Amino acid sequence: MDWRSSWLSREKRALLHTLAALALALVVILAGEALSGLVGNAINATIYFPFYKVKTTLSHLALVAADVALLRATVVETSSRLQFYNEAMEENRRLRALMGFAPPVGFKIVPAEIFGVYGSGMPNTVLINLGERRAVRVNQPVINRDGVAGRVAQVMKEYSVVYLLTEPRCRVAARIKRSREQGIVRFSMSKGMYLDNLPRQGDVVIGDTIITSGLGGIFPEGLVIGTVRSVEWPEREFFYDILIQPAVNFNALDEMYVLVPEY
Amino acid sequence: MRYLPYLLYLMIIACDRTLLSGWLSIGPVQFNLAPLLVLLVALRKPYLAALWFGFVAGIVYDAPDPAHLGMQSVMLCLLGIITSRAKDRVNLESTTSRILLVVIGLIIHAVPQTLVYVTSGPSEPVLLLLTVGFPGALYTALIGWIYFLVESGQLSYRRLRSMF
Repeated sequence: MDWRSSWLSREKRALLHTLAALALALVVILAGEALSGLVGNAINATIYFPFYKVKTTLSHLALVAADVALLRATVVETSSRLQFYNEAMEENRRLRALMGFAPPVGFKIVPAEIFGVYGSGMPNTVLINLGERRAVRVNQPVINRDGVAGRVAQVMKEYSVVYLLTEPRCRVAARIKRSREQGIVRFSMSKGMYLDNLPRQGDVVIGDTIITSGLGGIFPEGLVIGTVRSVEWPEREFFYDILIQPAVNFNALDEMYVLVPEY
Repeated sequence: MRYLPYLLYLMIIACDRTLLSGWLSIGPVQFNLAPLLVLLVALRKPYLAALWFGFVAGIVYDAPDPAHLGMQSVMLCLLGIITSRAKDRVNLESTTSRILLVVIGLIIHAVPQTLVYVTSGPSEPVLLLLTVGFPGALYTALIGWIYFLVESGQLSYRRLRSMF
C-alpha cells in the first residue's frame, strides 16, 4: 500500500509541476508586451550580455580588419606614387644641375638613354639609344654630370655601344689639374683606375684632380676623370703608381650625354 | 552547485543564439541546440528537472525576441515531458535507441517550431517543414549522434587518426 501511495503522490507532484510550468508559460504568452519585455530585458542583461559583448567586439574587429585591408592597399598605392614623385624630383634636380653645365667649346650635349649595362663584376659597356641618325659617331666622348664616362665604340642606326672608362680598351689622355703633369688613365681589374706614364719627377699628391688633357684627339680638354687616391713610387721603376678614384659612379649610371661636335 | 550545470546549459543556448547559430546554419537549415539540450537533460535527469529546464530554456531562447516569449517554453516543456515519459520504455544503454528517441523528439519539436518561428521560405506549411523544419531536425540529430558516439567512446581522436 505504501509504494502505491508514494507512486500516486509522485505522479500528483509531477502533474502539479507540469500544470504550473505550462500555466506560467501561458501567462507569459498572454501577459502582453509589458511582462515579456521585462523578462526579455532581464535575461538579455544577464545571460546574453557577455555574448552580445563578444558579438559586438567581433563585428568591430571585422570592421577594423576591413579598414586595415583598405588602409594597406592605400599605403601601397601611396608609397608607389611617392616613389614616382621622388623619382621625378630627383630627375628635376639632375636636369636643373644640367642646365648649369656648359659643354666644352665646339661640342653640343645630346642626352642618351641607357638600354643595357654589361660587364662581369664592374660594368664596362653600355648600350644607348642614340645612333647614326642622331649624328653619333665612333670615338665621340660620353659624359655624365660627374665627369667622363667613356667613349662611343660602335654605332648602329638607332643604338650605340659605349665603352666606359672601366673597359681596359678605353684609355684617356689626362693631366693633373693643379700641376699640369700629363699621363694616361687606364683601367685594370686588378688595380682599378690608375694614371700611367707619369715620371718620378712629376708633381702629384693625393687628392689632385685628374682631367682630360685633350691630347688624345678623342676627349676635349678639361673634363673631370677623378681624383688621386694613392701615390706610390715602386723601387727601380721609372713611373709613379697612381691610383684614381673615378668621378663617375659606374655602378649607378642613369643618364649619359654624348658630346657631338657642332660642325 | 546543484543548478550550475543547468545555468551552463542556458549560457550555451545564449551563446548559440547570439554567436554560433549563424556559423552552424547550412542555408535555411538551422542547428537547434535548445531542444537537443532539453532532450539530453530529459534522458539523464528526472522528470521535474526536464520539465523546468525545458521551461527556462524556452524563456532564454525567446529572450532576444520577446514577441514570442513563452511559446518556446511550452514547446520545450512538452518535449521534456514526452521524452521523460518515453525514456522509461526504451533501453537507454543502446546508442541507437537513444539517438532514435532524440530524432523523434527533434522531429516532433520541429513542427510547431517551424510553423511559429520560421518566417522565410515557402508559404506552404508542408513544404516549409520538408525544406526547413525536418532537415534542421535531422542536422541537429546528426550532431547529437556524434555527441553520443564521442560520449560512449566509439568516436575518439585516436580512432579518427587510426582511420586516416
